[in-house]
Amino acid sequence: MKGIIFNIQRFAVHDGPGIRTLVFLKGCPLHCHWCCNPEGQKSEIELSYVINHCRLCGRCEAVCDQGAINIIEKRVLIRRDLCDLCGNCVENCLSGALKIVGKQVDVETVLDEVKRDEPFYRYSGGGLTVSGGEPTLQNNFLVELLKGAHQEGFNTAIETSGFCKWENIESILNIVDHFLFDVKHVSDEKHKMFTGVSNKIVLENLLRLIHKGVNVIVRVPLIPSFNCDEDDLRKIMSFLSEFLKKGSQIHLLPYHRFGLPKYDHIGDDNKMVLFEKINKSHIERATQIVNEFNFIANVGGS
Amino acid sequence: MDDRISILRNSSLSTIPEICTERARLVTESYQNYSNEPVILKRARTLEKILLHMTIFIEDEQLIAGNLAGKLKATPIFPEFSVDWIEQEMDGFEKREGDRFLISPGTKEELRNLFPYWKGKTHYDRCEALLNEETKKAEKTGVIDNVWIRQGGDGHIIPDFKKVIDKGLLTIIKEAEEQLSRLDLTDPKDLGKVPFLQGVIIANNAVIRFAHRYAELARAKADKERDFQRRQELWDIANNCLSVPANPARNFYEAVQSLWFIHLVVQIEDNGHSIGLGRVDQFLYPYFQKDFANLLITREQAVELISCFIVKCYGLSKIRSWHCTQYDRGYPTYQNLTLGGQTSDGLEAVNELSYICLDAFVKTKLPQPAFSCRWHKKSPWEWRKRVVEVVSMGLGGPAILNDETVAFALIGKGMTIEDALDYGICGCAEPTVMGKSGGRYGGSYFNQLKALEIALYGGKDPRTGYVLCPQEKSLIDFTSYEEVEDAYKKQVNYFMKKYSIMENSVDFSFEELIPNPFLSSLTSDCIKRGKHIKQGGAVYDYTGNETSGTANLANSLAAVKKLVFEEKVISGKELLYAMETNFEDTTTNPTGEGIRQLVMNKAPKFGNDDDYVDRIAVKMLDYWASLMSSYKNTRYDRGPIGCHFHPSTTTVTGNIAFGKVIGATPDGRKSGEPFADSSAPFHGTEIKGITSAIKSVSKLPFKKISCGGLLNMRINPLEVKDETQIPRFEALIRSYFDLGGFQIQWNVVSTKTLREAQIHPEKYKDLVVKVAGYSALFVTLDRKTQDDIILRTEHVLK
Repeated sequence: MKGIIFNIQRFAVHDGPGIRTLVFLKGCPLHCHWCCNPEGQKSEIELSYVINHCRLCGRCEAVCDQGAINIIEKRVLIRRDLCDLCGNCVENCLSGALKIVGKQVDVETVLDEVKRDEPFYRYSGGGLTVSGGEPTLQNNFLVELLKGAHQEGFNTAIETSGFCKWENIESILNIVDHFLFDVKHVSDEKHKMFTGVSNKIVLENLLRLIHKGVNVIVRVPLIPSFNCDEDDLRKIMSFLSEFLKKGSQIHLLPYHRFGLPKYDHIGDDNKMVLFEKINKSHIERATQIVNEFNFIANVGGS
Repeated sequence: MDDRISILRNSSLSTIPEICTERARLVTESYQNYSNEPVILKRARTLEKILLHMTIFIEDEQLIAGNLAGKLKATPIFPEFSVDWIEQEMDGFEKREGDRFLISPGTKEELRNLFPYWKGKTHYDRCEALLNEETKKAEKTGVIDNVWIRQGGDGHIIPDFKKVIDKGLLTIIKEAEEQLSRLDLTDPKDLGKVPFLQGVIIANNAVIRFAHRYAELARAKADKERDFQRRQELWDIANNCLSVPANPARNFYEAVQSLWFIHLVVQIEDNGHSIGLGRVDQFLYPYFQKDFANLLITREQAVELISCFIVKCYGLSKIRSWHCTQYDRGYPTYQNLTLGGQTSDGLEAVNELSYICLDAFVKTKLPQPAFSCRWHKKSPWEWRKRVVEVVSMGLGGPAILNDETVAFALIGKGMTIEDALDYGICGCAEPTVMGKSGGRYGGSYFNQLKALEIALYGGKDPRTGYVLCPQEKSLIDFTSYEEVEDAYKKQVNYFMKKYSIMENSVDFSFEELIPNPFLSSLTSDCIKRGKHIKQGGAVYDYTGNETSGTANLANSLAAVKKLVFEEKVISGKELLYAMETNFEDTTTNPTGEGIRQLVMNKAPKFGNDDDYVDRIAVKMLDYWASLMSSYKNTRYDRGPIGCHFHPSTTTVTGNIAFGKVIGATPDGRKSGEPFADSSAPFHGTEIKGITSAIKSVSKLPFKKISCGGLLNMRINPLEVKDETQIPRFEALIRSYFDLGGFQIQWNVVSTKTLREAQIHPEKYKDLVVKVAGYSALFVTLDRKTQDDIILRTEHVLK
């Protein structure tokens, strides 16, 4: 069973209990305007160019059979319509500025990498967290991966937007120890506007999931001018309070701009949307509202 | 009570060390008076002379008496070791960019008058005479360096504090007297023991009289003291000093005072640094327990007393030549205090005093002494949690040691299980046994990366032009990777031979010129054998080492293996040319910089859990460690167990000093740049996060690195300040130990803070950082060392 991943990050401590390894599956049906992993959106592999690493040696231009690379104005310009992703330029890039994002791998290869940090899971109660993209988009791969991890005795978690068929979630119910489930907004209109998809199926999936009695942690990204207003947050909490137990943890994930340069790396800078920077008072107010509804706010996740 | 410690602490922190001539004068007079005496008696008489005539004082507010030199933080001079460098450098002592010492014109003049007597008579002079030209040349290449041990004493020992505290020096004197009375003086072997045993008696009596001087001083001060409480305290000090260290300590306070006197006098007798304090929470615990049970002391008072003790330790200072300062930045004295772990019968050793000592560490926030906390598989969660909490405060400590690996390494060196489990730390991370290990745990530096550079250049050192161990081939004509490894090993073998000659020559000089009667009397079985340590009096005896450069060595070899011989993307000739031109020639194809990018980005790097390069690191370090352990020291076959060299991965700041003598290397490191410190990956190359870095390091053969496998890591404080991260941090360290790690220490400080401290040193006067196995005040370090600490990869928990 093969899947496409775009990163494996070891020593993650904000995405489930303990010390974890994060596996990022490529491809996402959502296009959130604040997305910090834009390279996870497309399902296919992509060529990435990091200008800061580039020494402008010209080797990439010379080896490109498609004529897709030109050095213009002190940077490598990639004609993505011509590029056939053969990887010649990457191989010849000495400074590591050019890279292919996304790799087709089999489950065993990923598990081998995940196993490398087994000693660290042991004492910390950590394990594997599958993220994305939207991991359920590669559902068969996801199932095999989680099964494999469970067989190794690792704790498992997924980070999901919840935007998928219920069957997909159902197929992993017994092999996921923690669902980290995004609730971005309760207003469908706003949800559509900022993520490109409706939240109907998301909220429905969440309800069903909670009903199953599994371990769900709701995560709310705090995005200024999208859901940071008191009113927006109250609506989200009030919705959750109808079926989420008192004392449940809610992860608040403050907006950040660390992902911005990545848009440029994959030639997607037209999609980039800049939000207002989040400040302390945003976070404090959000925490307060969460607490008002008798939930426990956890900023940044853990 | 907080006031007392902060007053003591601030006065010590704000005092710039200065040079004190008293000791130099007294030693010179004594050597002139006793020139006809056997050297060991001359040494004992000299110690006596110093202790009876040096200036003594008791600091205001201090509860413990005993000073090293004429003023707080002043450093004595040890002319019997070396005078040349002092003479040459003393005009610059005040102008140094780091490790400054004040020196008055009068002091300089007095020293200049004393030095002529010492010309040709010092330990340094003797070593110069013993070392042949070839060995000196080998040292000039920068593969090996032992200047520090020729200019100063060896130290690196934990005297038998427990014996003195429990039994008193009078018992030691009695033992020596009994031994003397048992000798058959018609047997030349026995006759030869007489001076040593007499020396022991003289030295120990002198220490008792030294303490009595403080008793008198305290009483005199008390008579004049108007403050009731302080008068009471001075009386207590007087009573303590009358009783200890001559007699067994009667309470906790006396035990601490006794400990201090011994720790101090050992450093007046000899200027060897790294005098370990041993497992203070073990040998002091019965006294604390008894006093606490009898309501004679509160927990707070115990914290205060230990804090006073820490401030006293911090007040000790040592001056080194500028050459040696390169290796030892930030005024280190390498005092080290060990807590926790298990008892010699394998039971839990952590007790209330372990926590009290940690509390005192937090309270005093001083770089000296370093704290080493022992962990083992069964260590209680409370202990591990508290240690990690303290680490996360960013005070430059404590270091954490893994009993399982350390004890294994020591047993491998011939120690009994009981002694191996009873180890304490001296110096940076050198495990030793209190009162039983003699020898010399601190040894010369060995620069693995330089040996590789010479091998790649065909046996020629490109900097000095010396060809000491010729080779037939260089990187230009090696036909396989195996040939590269073989050439490297050949060079290591050559330099290891020179290394052993250097080390043993130094020890012969120590044995002949500077035996230590007092220190030897606190080391078993010196009295029983009638021998001082350097004659083979100790139960265990090893000669230590500081080696460096493992990460860069492995990265360089991996680059050559992969890019030159496997993928053939660059020829050996092209690579060597790029190294010669420091990756700067723009006319080659690829350019010099292009080749540097190639070797940096297309070859694996140690610290990413990549077996390709990690195996090379393991193989090379293992080769070197086994080779080193095969060499004998001067006590071999003279009594002690061991008597071999033993390896460590402690670099101190040698990675900076040694980096200066190495040109560009195949890992992309440019000429003159520092290389990786300790067992750590090279900064900026561990890109897969902290668990990968730790896993790579844990593969190193620490069970053979019996002189200490140190690992320095840096982490952003934001990542650990949160209470919920403590268990994760703890799990990370425990996992490293499960994987076989030896020791780990953290700098919990952000790059931002360090940069700010460079710009506004006045605001960060007490920012303590781990430099190597020791800590230092960041702002007292020179710029290069500061930059090196900043460059160490700052890990974040993602």
